Amino acid sequence: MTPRWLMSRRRLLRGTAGAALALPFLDAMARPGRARAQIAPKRFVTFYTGGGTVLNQWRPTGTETSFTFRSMNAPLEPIKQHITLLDGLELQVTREGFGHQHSRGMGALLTGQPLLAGPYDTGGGPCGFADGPSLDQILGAHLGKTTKFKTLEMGVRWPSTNGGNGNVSPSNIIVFSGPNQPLPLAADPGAIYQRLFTDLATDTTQLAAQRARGKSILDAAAEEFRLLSGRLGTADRTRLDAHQTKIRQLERSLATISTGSAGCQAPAREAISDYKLDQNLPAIGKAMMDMMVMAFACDLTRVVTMQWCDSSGRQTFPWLGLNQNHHAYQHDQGYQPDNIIKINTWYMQQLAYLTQALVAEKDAGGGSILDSSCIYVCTEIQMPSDHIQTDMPFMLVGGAGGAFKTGRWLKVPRTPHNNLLVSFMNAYGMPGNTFGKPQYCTGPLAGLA
Amino acid sequence: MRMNVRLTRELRVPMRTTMGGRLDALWLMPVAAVALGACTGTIAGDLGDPGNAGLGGGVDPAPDERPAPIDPVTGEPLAACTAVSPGPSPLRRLTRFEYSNTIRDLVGDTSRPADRFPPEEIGNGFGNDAESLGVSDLLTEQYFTAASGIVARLLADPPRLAGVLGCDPAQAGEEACARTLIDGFGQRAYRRPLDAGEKARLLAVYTANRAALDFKSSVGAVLETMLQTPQFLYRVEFGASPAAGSSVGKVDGYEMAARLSYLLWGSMPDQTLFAAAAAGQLGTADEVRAQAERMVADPRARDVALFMNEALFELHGVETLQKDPARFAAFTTEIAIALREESRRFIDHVVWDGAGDLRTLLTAPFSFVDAKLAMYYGAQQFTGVVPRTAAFSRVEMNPQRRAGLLTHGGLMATLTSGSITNPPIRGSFIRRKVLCSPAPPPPANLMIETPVPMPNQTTREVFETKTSPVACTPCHALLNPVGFALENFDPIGRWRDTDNGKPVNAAAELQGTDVAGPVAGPAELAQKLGASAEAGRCYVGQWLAFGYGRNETAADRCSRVALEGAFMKSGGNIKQLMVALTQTDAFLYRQAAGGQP
Repeated sequence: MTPRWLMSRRRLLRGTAGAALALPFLDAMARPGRARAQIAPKRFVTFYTGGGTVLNQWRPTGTETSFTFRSMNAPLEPIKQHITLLDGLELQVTREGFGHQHSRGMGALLTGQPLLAGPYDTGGGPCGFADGPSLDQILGAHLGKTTKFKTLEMGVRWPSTNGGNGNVSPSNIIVFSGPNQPLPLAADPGAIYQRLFTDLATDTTQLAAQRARGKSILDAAAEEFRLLSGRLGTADRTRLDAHQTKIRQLERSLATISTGSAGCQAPAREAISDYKLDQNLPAIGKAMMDMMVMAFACDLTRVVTMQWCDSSGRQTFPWLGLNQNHHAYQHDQGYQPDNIIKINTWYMQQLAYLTQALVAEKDAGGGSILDSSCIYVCTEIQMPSDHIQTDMPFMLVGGAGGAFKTGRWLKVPRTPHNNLLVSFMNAYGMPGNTFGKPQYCTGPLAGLA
Repeated sequence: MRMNVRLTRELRVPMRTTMGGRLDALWLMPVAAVALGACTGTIAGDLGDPGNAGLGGGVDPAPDERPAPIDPVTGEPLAACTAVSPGPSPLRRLTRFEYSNTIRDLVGDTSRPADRFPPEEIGNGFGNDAESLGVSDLLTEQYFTAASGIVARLLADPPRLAGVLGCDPAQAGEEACARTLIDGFGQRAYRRPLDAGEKARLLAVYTANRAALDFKSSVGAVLETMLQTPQFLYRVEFGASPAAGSSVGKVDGYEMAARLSYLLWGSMPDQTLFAAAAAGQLGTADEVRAQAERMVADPRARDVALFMNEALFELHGVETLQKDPARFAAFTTEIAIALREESRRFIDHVVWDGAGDLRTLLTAPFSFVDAKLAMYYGAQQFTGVVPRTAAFSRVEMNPQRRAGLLTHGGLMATLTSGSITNPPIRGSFIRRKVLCSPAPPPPANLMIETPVPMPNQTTREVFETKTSPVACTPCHALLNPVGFALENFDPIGRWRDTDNGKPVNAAAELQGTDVAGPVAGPAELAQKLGASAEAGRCYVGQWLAFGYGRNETAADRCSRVALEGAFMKSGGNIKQLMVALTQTDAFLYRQAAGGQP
């Protein structure tokens, strides 16, 4: 370990007036042999809200390039130039597989795959998880080679289902590392803060000592995995080998000092009494969005999934005066579009907040972080009154560094959403003509660029 | 194993079986297994004495010599069960529940550090399904963070640290003391004696750190390492060498000690188990049973029974349940927490201090409330003295109104998501969880429109109209009656005689179960379920999945028969079922490494 790496960026930033001065110093903290990127890295965000929308409110009025949002999406008016509305995509892959339509939609959003057969019944017959990795994980492996975290997964009010002991189930997860391998979300904002930003606040000498000690521990633990694995049968060996890989990844993460933009600093730490209470959802959501922006600014990661909820719709919205749970407004008390609109308007306010925060944060290249980013705004069904998965109310915010032309209402009727996943892959520098289940993919989504 | 699932899933299909009411548990049954003609015994009828359950004698006969279990229906030996068939024996990782319990027993840290770990995959419904549990970056980090916190707290607590070290470095010498720690504490952490290589590698961690750090921090590094090894985080088994030509063998003494402790305590073995393992006294079914009998008298067994039943009945969400205060002002956070507490106390009491049987769990006309909860339910619900303080105490309830866990306010409230009840949802829950006999899933393309409340109609009438089309009836004939019989419980789980101004009609005709027939309301429904052999078999299957940390397979046929026989023989006793779980092929044997199907 070179002591040069271990200068505290935070202390440096505190002592310097601005970016112009800070940048040469930041270079000194880069790992030897690693040229600091002057071009902004590309970032990918998934912004999931549950239970669909009200389609006739979601569709704007006007033309492809000149349109006006209806009242539900009015909060997006100030960020309209960054938005691409995708009108007409279908979650075609959910036509096959197992499980409830909500769960099938969850599984398909980022994987383009159906749900496997499996043991657990979330109300639509027993099913397993999606039959493949999610796009965020694939992009994370590609974009995150030098970042501390390949991806981050956050759940705002998650999980809200009662299944078992608050377990990860097909109805509450959209991220997967492989077939039948869901990834849990981090739901405790305090723990996420600690995970992301403790290093910034730790004295460099102390940090170096902690890292050396941590490395010795993880090395020794990983070695036990290696030795034991070789003595076990195939199935168990695979399990231990996967675990060992994660330990090595953690070692790498511990040793990585991220080099961010000049604006990199720990965000204000929100005091949230109980992250499992519905009334705290707005504060948790804001804390997570603030942390996401700084995770990008500090280049801690380039891929973030933010699930505002799961698909069971058990949370209430007391700050909106909506004290029944989301599911009740979706259809349990009969479809109540006015209340669904209120909920979605609130979600769109959050999306606008995130977008504006990403616009405000300057990137290493001099532009905004949003310039190099794209937010995939998605939900698992079209409308809550039924469970159809055509005309999905998807949108993109940001052009992924010029890959997508924004400020548009793009009509893509009856097109499988797997095509969009291909376009994401291509936009982030990964070649390919198909993603997810090939039967439901006809190539990149036309017209995005 | 994930790859296995992937390779073989085309061969495995969900199916109905002739074994009665175990559709969801048998979802993974390989197609080929259906052809196993010998396994046809199905237990029917009420709980009765099945005669000799055939759980083995004092000697542990070789697999091909032991007596076959008796089919409780025919009274004939189950020929197929003469060969040992343990089913899969996957490597099991400690769950959050087990990790926190183990840390408590290992180092005396009661902070339940695993509560901060990400939740497990639901798998078999209990979050302990070995084949479902994956390892994420987040979890690996949490293991690291938790170990660091556990050790930091330990190092700051001299009496606890001294106990863990087992020596005084000032007297014994530092390196000698580190060796003592690795030998002694290591055996408890790894749940067996360490081999020379393991000791040497841990000592190397000590030595490397001691070069830069003080003694305490260096042994701390050793402890943190141990807590992140597979020996600690997984329940590693190699088993005894199987006989030539067989892939089935016994587990060794230490492995059996851990099987027992995690099954019955959700934690690591105690000194008695370690001593028995060291003395080779965990080799026979009788020795295992004797330990199990001892262990179910320990409070740790109560935690396991509570955990299992709370997971089964999905009570985890009760305390964070929120209801519209405009409609349900009485349902406060305080009440939600009290409702969960009621069910927890009730389960714990029935299993351990009461009759101990499933029937009582499903039918008991008493419960546990405090003054606030008593007021919430209303005085008419009780037939005896009602508490007047914030302390929970046992109350006798009107047996026409309340009968067992399914009529608790917490469960009834969580099974209602809106302002009116949803009888099919309640019915579906009971069919899945209590009878293991779910209705077929709705067609994937079905547009589910839950009915809206109608003026001048009861909820039941609304749902009857909504589900009357002929396309709906095959499934709703199974779901609706169960839910209708619970219509006396309003959306927040309180008794009601009227709904929307009209009298509640909770009379229903149960269908598609061994207790089909008319019921007048919730109490009769509960009595029916309590008497149902199908419910008994279901409960056995749920324990089998939970206890063995996996899904039931066709290879578990004989283990299940043994469990069902023991459960019936004991009159449906839950504690005895826990003991019986230690007497099956699935528990006493394992598939040798590489020999897993």
